[in-house]
Amino acid sequence: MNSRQFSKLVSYLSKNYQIYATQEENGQVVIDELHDAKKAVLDNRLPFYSWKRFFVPECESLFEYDGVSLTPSSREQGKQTVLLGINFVDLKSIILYDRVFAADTYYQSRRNNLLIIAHNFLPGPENNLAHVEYKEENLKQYSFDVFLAAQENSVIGHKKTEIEYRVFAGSEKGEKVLRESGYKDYQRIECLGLLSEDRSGSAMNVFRDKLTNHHNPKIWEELGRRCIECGKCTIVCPTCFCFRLDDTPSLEVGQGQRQRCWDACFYQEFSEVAGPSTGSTGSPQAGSGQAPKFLKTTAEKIHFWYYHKFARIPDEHSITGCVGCHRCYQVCPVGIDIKKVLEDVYNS
Amino acid sequence: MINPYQTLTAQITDIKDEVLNMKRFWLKLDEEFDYSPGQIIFLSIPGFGEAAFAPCGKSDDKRTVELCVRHVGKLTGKLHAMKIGESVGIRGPFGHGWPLNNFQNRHPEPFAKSQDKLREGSDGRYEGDSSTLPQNDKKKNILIVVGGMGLVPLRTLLLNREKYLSPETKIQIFYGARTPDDFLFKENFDRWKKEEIDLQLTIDKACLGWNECVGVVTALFDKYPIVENAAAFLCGPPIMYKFILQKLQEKNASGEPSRTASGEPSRTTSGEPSRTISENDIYMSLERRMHCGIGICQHCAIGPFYTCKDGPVFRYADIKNIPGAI
Repeated sequence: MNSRQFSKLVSYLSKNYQIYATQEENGQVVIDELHDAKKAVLDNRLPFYSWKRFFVPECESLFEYDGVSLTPSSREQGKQTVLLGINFVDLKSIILYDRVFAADTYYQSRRNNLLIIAHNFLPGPENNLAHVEYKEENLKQYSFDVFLAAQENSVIGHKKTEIEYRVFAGSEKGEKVLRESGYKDYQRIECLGLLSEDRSGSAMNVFRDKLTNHHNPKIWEELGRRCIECGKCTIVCPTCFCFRLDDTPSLEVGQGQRQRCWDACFYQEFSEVAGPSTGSTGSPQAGSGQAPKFLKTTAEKIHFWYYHKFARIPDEHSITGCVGCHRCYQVCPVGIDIKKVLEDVYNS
Repeated sequence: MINPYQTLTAQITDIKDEVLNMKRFWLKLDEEFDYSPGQIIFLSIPGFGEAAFAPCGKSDDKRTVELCVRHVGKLTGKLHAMKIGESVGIRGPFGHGWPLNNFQNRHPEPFAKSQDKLREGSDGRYEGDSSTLPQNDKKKNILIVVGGMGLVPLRTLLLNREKYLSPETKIQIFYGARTPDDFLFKENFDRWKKEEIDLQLTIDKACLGWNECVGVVTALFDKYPIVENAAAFLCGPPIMYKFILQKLQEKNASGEPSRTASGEPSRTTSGEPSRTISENDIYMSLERRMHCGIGICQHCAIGPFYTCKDGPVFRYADIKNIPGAI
């Protein structure tokens, strides 16, 4: 597929679907609704935010309640949204969402309405900490509808150059849009979404073993002194998916919505339970004003964050809970660098 | 696809003041709701949210769920203000309760999971290999150690004793409360004593008219020998667990041999049955904040486990090395 054919695909899509695409804005790549087909940019720059919100929105209504009864909130049927321009690092996070929310009816109906167009541009080493490499034979382990693999002779970079893509359709939906846009020279592959990382001896397995069997409090206490619990890393992280359920009343008496919203393990309420105030030792401490909680210190919270990504997710889902995008470092007000933390864990 | 967040509607059919600030609620459902002792359910009052509770009643009446609830927050405050005839939502049950039927229902999922995990550990700390676990054909007694509200998730077991335990299983209860007025389910005490349950009570501070033990719940260990060949079921505030575990370890270290590998109740040199309890036989119910109930939202995670899904009852051997678990 050459750039003329790519433009044709995008203009076909923009006529028939709502498209969110990587676009350039003030010299940065951002994900935004695409109104002008020419503005879609596929390159190696990492968008500031990940694609998470399209899979796991900041807030969604699960039920409308009226008195005690819960009516499942209506979900949009059949209205397809195209996500255009998911890079090869971020693409991995979709495997995780698909696994975590495999039995979630709300996720599945939203997921069925997404059409994913991914590409093989890899961000520079600073945004590819896992050293992901693109290999065509591994494509079927990912999950996408259309994949655009820029050919080696193409120039990969910011500058608009003539780029040739090899095109893969990973689903019937993907095949359909390619055909309907008039493009036939694609290869159909069966996306299994089965990426399973060989953990034996890998750095990821070392992180997991250290976190599970060789807890080193010093690392976390030191980080606990720096971290200010702002939770920004959890917002930009493509693999942070934890949530809370909130009841939001409407103006009608007894009515409202039960919502599922992003939460962050750094927030005060995350591990709080009802009960009398307790001190750090668990002993009652009248007047401390703090509800009892189980993640009491900043050190415990930051350890919880790392343990989730590098031990609990690998145990549960057979992949590492980090795509290596380095967004957490880029937003961290106190400069906590996951690369450095993992080095410390590795060497501990 | 099942919606795990959907609730069943349950009508409050009775309310009883239990002790100060605590009430018991009988909730009637239109459909059967099956749970085992120690499992949790979510109570939902739209506008006030949801929280996890362990039912405390007889589990054979499958259309009634009995809860014993202290007024501590917004949701429980709203529940306490509700009247007979009003309705709430319920979903669940979730997780694993107490090991039952002479431990034949030993938590297959979480413990298999933990065994795999811990076997991978390089330092060989894991001792819970299945070959050394007590075998099911051997009778095992139960030492229940509870503090404050801790009796709540064990009452279901005590009220359904014939359903879940063999007739030979001896039960001993060490129960600590702040004052004599704080003991829950006093109406059942006589019946339990008639059933030869060895119920021993203690209160924090001496008070007029109290002739039994005074001191925290561990004081009972110094006063009464623990039932032989027992598993311990613990429920209470986290601080209590630390002291009970310490007490049990002291007992184990005091020279009495632990169980043999064959699962035979071991005998001391004097021929007395074993009165030690290994960490494979200690079970404890843990509290955590919960939102989903199905092991996704991360609020209740403890190391590799979710309290809602793999707990709330855990075997001590499986969680003892997890920082912050207890």
